[in-house]
Amino acid sequence: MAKKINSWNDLKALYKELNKDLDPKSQWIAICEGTGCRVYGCLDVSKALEGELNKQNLTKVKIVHTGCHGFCERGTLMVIHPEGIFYSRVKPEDVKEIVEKTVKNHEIIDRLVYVDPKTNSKIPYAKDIPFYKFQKRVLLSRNEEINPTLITDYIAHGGYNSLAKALFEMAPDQVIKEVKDAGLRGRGGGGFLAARKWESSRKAEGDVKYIICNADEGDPGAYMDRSIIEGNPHSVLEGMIIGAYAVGSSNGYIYIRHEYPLAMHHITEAIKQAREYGFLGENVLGSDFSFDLKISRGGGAFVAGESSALIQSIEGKVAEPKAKYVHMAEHGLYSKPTVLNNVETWANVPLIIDMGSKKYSEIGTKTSTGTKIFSLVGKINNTGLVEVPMGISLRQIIFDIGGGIKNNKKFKAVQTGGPSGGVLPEKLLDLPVDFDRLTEAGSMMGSGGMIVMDEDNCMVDVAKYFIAFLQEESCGKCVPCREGLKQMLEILEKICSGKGEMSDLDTLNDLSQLLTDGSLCGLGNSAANPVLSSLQYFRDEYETHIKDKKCPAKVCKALIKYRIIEDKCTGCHLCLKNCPSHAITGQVKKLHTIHDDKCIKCGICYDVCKFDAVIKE
Amino acid sequence: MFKVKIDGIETEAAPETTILEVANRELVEIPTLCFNDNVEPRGACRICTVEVEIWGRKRLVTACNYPIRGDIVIDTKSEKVMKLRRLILEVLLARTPKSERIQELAKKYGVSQPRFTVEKTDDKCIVCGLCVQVCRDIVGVSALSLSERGILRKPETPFDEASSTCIGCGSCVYICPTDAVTMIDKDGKRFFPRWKTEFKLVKCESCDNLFMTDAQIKYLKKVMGKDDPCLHYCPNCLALFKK
Repeated sequence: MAKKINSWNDLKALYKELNKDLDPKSQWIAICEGTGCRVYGCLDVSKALEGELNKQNLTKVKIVHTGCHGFCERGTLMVIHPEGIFYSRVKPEDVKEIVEKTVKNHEIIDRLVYVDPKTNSKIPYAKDIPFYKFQKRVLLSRNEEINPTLITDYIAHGGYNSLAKALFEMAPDQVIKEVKDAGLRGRGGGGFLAARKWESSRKAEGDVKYIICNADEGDPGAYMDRSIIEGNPHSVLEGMIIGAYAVGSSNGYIYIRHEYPLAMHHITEAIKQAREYGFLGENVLGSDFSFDLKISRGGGAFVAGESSALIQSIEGKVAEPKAKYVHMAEHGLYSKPTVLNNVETWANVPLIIDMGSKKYSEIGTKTSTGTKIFSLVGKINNTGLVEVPMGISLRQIIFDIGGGIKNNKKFKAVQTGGPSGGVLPEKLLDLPVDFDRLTEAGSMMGSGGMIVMDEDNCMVDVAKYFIAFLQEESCGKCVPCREGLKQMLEILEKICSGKGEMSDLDTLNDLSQLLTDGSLCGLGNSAANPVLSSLQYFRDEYETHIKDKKCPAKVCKALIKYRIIEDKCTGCHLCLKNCPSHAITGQVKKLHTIHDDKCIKCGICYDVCKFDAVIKE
Repeated sequence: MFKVKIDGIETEAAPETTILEVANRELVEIPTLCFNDNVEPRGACRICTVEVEIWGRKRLVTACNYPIRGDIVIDTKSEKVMKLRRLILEVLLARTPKSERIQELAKKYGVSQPRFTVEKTDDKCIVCGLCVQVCRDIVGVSALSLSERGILRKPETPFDEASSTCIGCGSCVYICPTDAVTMIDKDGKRFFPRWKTEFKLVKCESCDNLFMTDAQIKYLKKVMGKDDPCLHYCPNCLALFKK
């Protein structure tokens, strides 16, 4: 059992003691053990490394089992300090050589070094890799240095000092003022000023007040919040405790989705340790302030991430949004004043207290301060989590950090803001990424999903995908969202199958208006964005589907045909053997033929042909 | 009191009064479907949407549950409002083409044929949730809930099987705005086709008319904590006795 910390001096003493061990010259190895790297088998790498270091009597070399480093597509990631040598795609069988060459002799193993796809040059140090170099990692940087299951690692890097500073040096109103002056806007989607919610909640009457962390991240392909909780859970707790102090709350909840087992494990462990050390519970750090929190598990409904639905879910009811005419700051959870912010927002709070609002607000733009984490996915070279200052252009994120489009294809669009965000075309690549500019352009910041699309993506198909997702995830309470999305999807399916009419485009516009003006909650209000933005920027693609019955990106199955070109076909039989519907005939070394009546357009022949003899038309 | 101007009529309203309350008082007609003043307004059907101007901002709000908290100008028939109502009715007409209530409203707002595939169904349910609310908040038995989500959402008994908690009171039938919930009293029994649940009807001890289900009597005895004449005699006979 750890000793409870009863004062700021106690904390300072503990920090001093723990920080001593962090000698900048010492040798230590960080292994990413986030969910992504676990899929690549990082735990086996860790085990092998431990074994090898023991075997070689190198017990002084510390292994730090960290959370997500962000460069997920290159996992397993390993960084060898003090030099900061960055190895990716590390396998257990590489470990012996790593210890022998790099740990013992400071030699770099070429094979494991990152190769920049743009220049083909080898980059051995993490700090020089464009993916990291152009980021501003103020929230994620600690992910690479600490073991998220050890509170001592967090404290050794200065953790919980912001809480102590707030408790012992600042009045609650001052904390709110600091967060207000920092201009912190909610990272969950709406982009409301966090301090405004805090202020109303502080002023609201109520014997009990609640603090909630929304960790019900549900956008397809987005995992910013998961990585923060997995990699640095105490930063979220510290933010929440500071928020609770500012608002005058003694109870909190973390609402986290059940599909995040590792995040759940780490936050549970973090809460336990924070209680042992006296950061949670009665008389936090020996002050008069008391606060504790519980975990509430979400069942995986997308709509439960909507604030009023989330509260219903914590209360044990079906997650169904309510009208916002009654403000949560006054009547929230169990009708008590409630402050709800998402994971990333809470994680920013200790940073603001530590840096001071002035310095913090220098990051980003005037109306969107600080950094934002995006999960950069899709047809991009460097897939992963990136943290950038607000105001950076889409082009910088996609081409400098993301390394451009895969396989030298042409960029077509980027979808920001999750399923109810919009698609932005090439001409908007220089748009600065901040809350207001993205909204103006017909998309939104959302919680930070960023999906890059190339010339092979059909924009009607993309809109159809997101509308299908939203239709499934709509709670079904209000008529516009429930019925409007269904009709919208039907029309998009009609267009993709070549049965669309030009009047359908007007109907889509009308349905968009129904959703935007008529829906009860944010899900429905923003659900038309994928359709509206694609109609705005890629209307020609809709028209080609309707008028010419063609899909320019050759995605919509009903509008394409596979054909074998005589000149290129060698009669190798590969396509014939792989065709699941026996639609291909032909004799060995003679031209093969695809029979349209049997072809199910799965594209396997196209993928397997080694001579590019199969074409899509 | 706040100054209220609704469709040109100038009046006043106490804080927290809803727009619908003001409209009813001033005889301004606002259509409603999922609203019933016995239960909390859910704002689900959105048909009562009106346009308001408050604190220098114009916005669309639902009249049934929007509380007045400042001087306000309300337009219940603005161009935006009328278009929204027509669109709501168009999608509802495609969903429940046989509902007389929807047909009648659609006609009133000039919606004839929806531009969408019209469901081939006799179901008149618009998933407003009033049956669930009345069963839970007024009757107190919670025999129904809204199951599934999105387009599949529907009021149901658990597992869509005959309910053992339903008392057969019929409140869901009376409150349904589109006559989607029905009950059939026949051969001494009461049957709810939608809930797949059947009850035995009990005779009034005075006039022999069937007046209540056995489950209802049992439930009422329990909540009243005693036997009572109202559990033995029908309301008509009880009224006669009182005279």
